[in-house]
Amino acid sequence: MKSFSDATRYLFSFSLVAFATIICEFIRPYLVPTNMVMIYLLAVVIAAAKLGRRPAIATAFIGVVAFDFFFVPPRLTFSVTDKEYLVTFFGFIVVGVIISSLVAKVREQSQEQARLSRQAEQTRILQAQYNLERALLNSISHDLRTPLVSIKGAISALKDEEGDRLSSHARRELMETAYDEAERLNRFVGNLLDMSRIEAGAIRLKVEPCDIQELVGCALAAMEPRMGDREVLAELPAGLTLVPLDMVLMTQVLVNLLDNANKYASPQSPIEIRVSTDDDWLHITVSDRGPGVPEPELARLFDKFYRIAVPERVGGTGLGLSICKGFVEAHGGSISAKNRDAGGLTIEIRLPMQISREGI
Amino acid sequence: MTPTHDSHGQHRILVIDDEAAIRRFLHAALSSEEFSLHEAESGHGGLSAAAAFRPDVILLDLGLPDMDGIEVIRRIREWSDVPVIVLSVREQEDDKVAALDAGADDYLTKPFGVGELLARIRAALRRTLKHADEPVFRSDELMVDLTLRHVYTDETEIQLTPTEYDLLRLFITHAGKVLTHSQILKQIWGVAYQEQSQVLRVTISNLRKKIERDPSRPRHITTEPGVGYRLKIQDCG
Repeated sequence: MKSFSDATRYLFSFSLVAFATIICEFIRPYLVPTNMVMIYLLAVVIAAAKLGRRPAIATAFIGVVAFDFFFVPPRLTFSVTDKEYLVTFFGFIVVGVIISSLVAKVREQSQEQARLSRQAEQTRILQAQYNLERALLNSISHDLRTPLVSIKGAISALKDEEGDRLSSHARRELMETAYDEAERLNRFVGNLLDMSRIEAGAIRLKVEPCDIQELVGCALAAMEPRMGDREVLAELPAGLTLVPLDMVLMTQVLVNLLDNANKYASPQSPIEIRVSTDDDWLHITVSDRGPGVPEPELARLFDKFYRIAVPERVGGTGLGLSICKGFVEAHGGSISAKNRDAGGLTIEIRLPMQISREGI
Repeated sequence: MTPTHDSHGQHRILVIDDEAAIRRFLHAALSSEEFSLHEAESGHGGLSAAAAFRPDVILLDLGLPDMDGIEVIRRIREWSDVPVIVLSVREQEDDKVAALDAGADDYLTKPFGVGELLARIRAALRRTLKHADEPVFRSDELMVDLTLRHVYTDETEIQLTPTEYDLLRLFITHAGKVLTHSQILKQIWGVAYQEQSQVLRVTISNLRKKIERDPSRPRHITTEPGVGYRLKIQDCG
């Protein structure tokens, strides 16, 4: 009701009185005029509850005038024969104003309370956001700094004069540490950029008809240096049609999935990639023989910075899967995870075979 | 144009990059018996250095302060065929394509390793040096006789459709170089097909099925996601 303008409110007051007058007209044969005041008082109460104090007082005054005009003899004039009605009028006005003030006060209080609780809720959300952001910042700065510590440490050891005294094995070891950690830092920065692009809604899909075999091939080629001689089984149906998608982003999705499988499953176990289609959807699954994910935590797998708890430290950023989710959803698809019966995890991507033209 | 050498038989490399740290790193990594380096820190500086220094290879950063890197390539191409290798970051796939279409020979995504950089520089130099009309191309088990139009894998002759053969020959004449989708489409199918990338995908897929041992892990024609294709030259032992 608070969105009504003042004029509208007074119009409502007027309507309430008109309505009360119509009711009174119907019951006129059965009641003495004094009792009709009760009907007008009801209109005042309604006005006070719904419209506020001033429109309620206005209702009281218009009510008195209407009552006098329509029902106090002589009818349809403003004159009053029986002076006792003046007492009724006076009583009606006083009671009307008091009721208006009381009801309106209650109404204002409850509005104020609602406003306060809204404010409290907003403060609570802001606090939660702030806590989350601080946790993220801590996590990010930890992930950025850890490789930098190793890189700086290793290179300073090599750079200092002391470095000359190191054995060639130790020097080699330090260089490899610095190189591997630089690679890790590079991947993390790439992930952060992808994530921020997703969060800013800045993903511009460059959709082209793509050969899925080629897509799988690109992901495998990109993963080759990290996979060693792990076996990868790729099962693709023959004669697959071209599917419209953004090749660069979907390659990244597959690389992230393979990278996860590669990190969590033992090096001897194979990773399986399966592709299938039905009328509307392309399904790509990546399955490993790793430890899987505890059932209650499956849903959180795609959350930002979520990492499953494993005894040995696995160098993940907790961003890979949430980036997959962002990229797949940008295509109008979905991503889900389930544990395999014989152990291990399967991630399934579902992509539309026809992509809608919007958002491209 | 054939590469020029200075008195020491070194190849000349021009680096155009505004980041001092990157120029310093490239200088340290590339200066050797094999290469002599010249540096420029802006587009205009790079253009005049390209004219004065007559490099054999140019390494060009796309994000220059004074001038669009693509424009630098266009101006160089007005008078020179010197190989240009573009240095860019990961998110700039469109820029890479634009650079290649403007006449760049290759690109490297920052950060890159020196091994990768040297391989690209040597491949670019080989392309300018090599005989234009070598009749036989060999790479691992793949052998193509360009005069007789015969294609063999593991000594067995395979049959290609005319379009597949034309596509393979295009790759061979640009062996080691990235070709963008629109460059290939224009060459093989003509200007009218420049946007018809599905034609290209299907032909590539068919060609791979014939010449690759494992088409899902191609060794000869590799995909550069979002950019194009490259025919890799494998050692022939």
